[in-house]
Amino acid sequence: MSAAIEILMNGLFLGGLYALFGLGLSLIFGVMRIANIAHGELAIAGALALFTLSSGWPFSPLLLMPLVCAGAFVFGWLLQTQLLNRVLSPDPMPALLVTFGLSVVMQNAMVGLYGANSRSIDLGAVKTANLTIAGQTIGWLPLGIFLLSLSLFGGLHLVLRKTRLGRAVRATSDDAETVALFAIRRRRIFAIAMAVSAACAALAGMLLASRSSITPFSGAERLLIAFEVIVIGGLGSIWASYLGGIALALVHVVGFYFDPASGLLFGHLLLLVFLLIRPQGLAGKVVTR
Amino acid sequence: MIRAILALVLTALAAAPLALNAGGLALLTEMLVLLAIAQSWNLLAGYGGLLSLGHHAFVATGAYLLFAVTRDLPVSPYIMVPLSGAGAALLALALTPVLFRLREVYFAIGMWVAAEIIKIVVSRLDYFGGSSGLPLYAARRIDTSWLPATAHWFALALAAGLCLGLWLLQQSPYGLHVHAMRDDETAARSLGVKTRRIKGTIFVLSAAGCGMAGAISFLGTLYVSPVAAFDINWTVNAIFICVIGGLGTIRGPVLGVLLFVLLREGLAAYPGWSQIALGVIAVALMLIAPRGLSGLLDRLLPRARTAVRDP
Repeated sequence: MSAAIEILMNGLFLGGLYALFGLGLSLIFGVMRIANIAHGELAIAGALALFTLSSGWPFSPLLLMPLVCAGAFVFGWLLQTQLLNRVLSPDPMPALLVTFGLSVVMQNAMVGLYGANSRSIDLGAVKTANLTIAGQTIGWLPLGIFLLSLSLFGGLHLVLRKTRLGRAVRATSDDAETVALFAIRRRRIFAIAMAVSAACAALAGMLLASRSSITPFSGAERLLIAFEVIVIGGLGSIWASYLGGIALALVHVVGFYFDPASGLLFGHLLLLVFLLIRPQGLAGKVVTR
Repeated sequence: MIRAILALVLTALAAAPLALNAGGLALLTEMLVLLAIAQSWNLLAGYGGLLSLGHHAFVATGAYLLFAVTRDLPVSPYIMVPLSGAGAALLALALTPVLFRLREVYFAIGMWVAAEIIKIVVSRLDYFGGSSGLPLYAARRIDTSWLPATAHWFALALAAGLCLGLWLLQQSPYGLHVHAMRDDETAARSLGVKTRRIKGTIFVLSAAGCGMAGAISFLGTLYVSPVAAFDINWTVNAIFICVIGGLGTIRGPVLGVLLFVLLREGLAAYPGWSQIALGVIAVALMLIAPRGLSGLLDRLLPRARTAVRDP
């Protein structure tokens, strides 16, 4: 019984992190109808940047995370305004190929700079601290990551629902051609979406590297997880990504419990099942294409 | 004139095993294998408009079929090469019910996920040697001194056959249907073009090309392992070769392979840098010349333009 509760808890906490990976991808997919193949590499680059910045830094690396997110925000903005806005067309292939090229360049550059070793970010005492509730031991770090991701989703929800910018983003997502008639510069909305998406990716990468470990090759795996999160959750609202993240993480944790060598296999199979029997995802109103 | 040059090049390539040393022949064979995979990917992406990030699954399927079937049955590995292509085509056919529900980005990454699943399953099955892979047991039955030359001829036949096939496609009425479908699927369908069937056919043919290329490539190395066969670089390199050379053209991937090998050999002392250079070139070309080197060539040689169709 206690093992079952532990698996559920692990799945829930890991799901918060998965959801954060999916959030960035679903944001740009929702707004622009293209995917960023370099999403995973952005996450890993964020983690490696924090790794470099925090060496020699006397305080907790946690304090540097906002700085790296700001850097990723600027990077995402430049990526959209300088590269992707120039290849936008009804045909998604050019934009897809540009992000694909970027992902290969980033991955090889990171291998060149940091080597292929796996590393993790050392948060000191936070990493091992835990609390006990009703006989269950819960680590502060997984719980903190879960709550942080939940509050980020809440914050983004408020921005999208209550602000003028959020309205513009939602309108662009519904019909990017028509919003232009209402004096909304859609390229600017795209740039904001990509910047927020990159910041989310970098944050997710840093949290992943604090929870477990990463290598410069981990990007591809993260992209697939982010993609599976948005397909399983469905598009249409950011909470769909949250649901998708938790569902995928539960499948991974349960699969790992019964078959430690399975890796991401059961998550991949879950994706196929969803594509076959429920292509709109758990909560989505829009049919995935 | 062009036909005479092509015949000359083909003859020279066919005679290469007589003139080149082992290293040179291996490089030439590898280039032809890369060209075959790139043209197969080009058929799907450049002509069919479907971007796949999982074509390494078909390369690996072809290779594994060759190794597993020749181990269990007294079939010559040479006869198994085209059959491996047929096996990869069958796999593609089996995948269509799921993958063809997806479009654009979803198809691209869905194909990648399918490749991941097949990779994990193959590397866990003892029948395929698990994670350590299989040697070519059938090597005992053939004269291995002729193996490099035979693999080269197979690769040449496959690459040349694919180029010829694309040329015939461009000339045929069927090619017009394909072209119409890529440019505007809805409009093409409203004119009676059977887009689903065309996409399926192209997908299956493209898988067959990759499967044969995989079988030929690993025939030369006498050993297949999941890490080498399911290496995503098969797909990554094919994409770079097509994008840099010019998507949707026949000579594009030929130019792309030449630049690819030139960069890789030139930067051999700096590991990783050739991939970075290819990525930067591909992104830069997408921005300034989306039709690749082939398109740039058209601008420089306006006379040649009539021979090439708009990509």
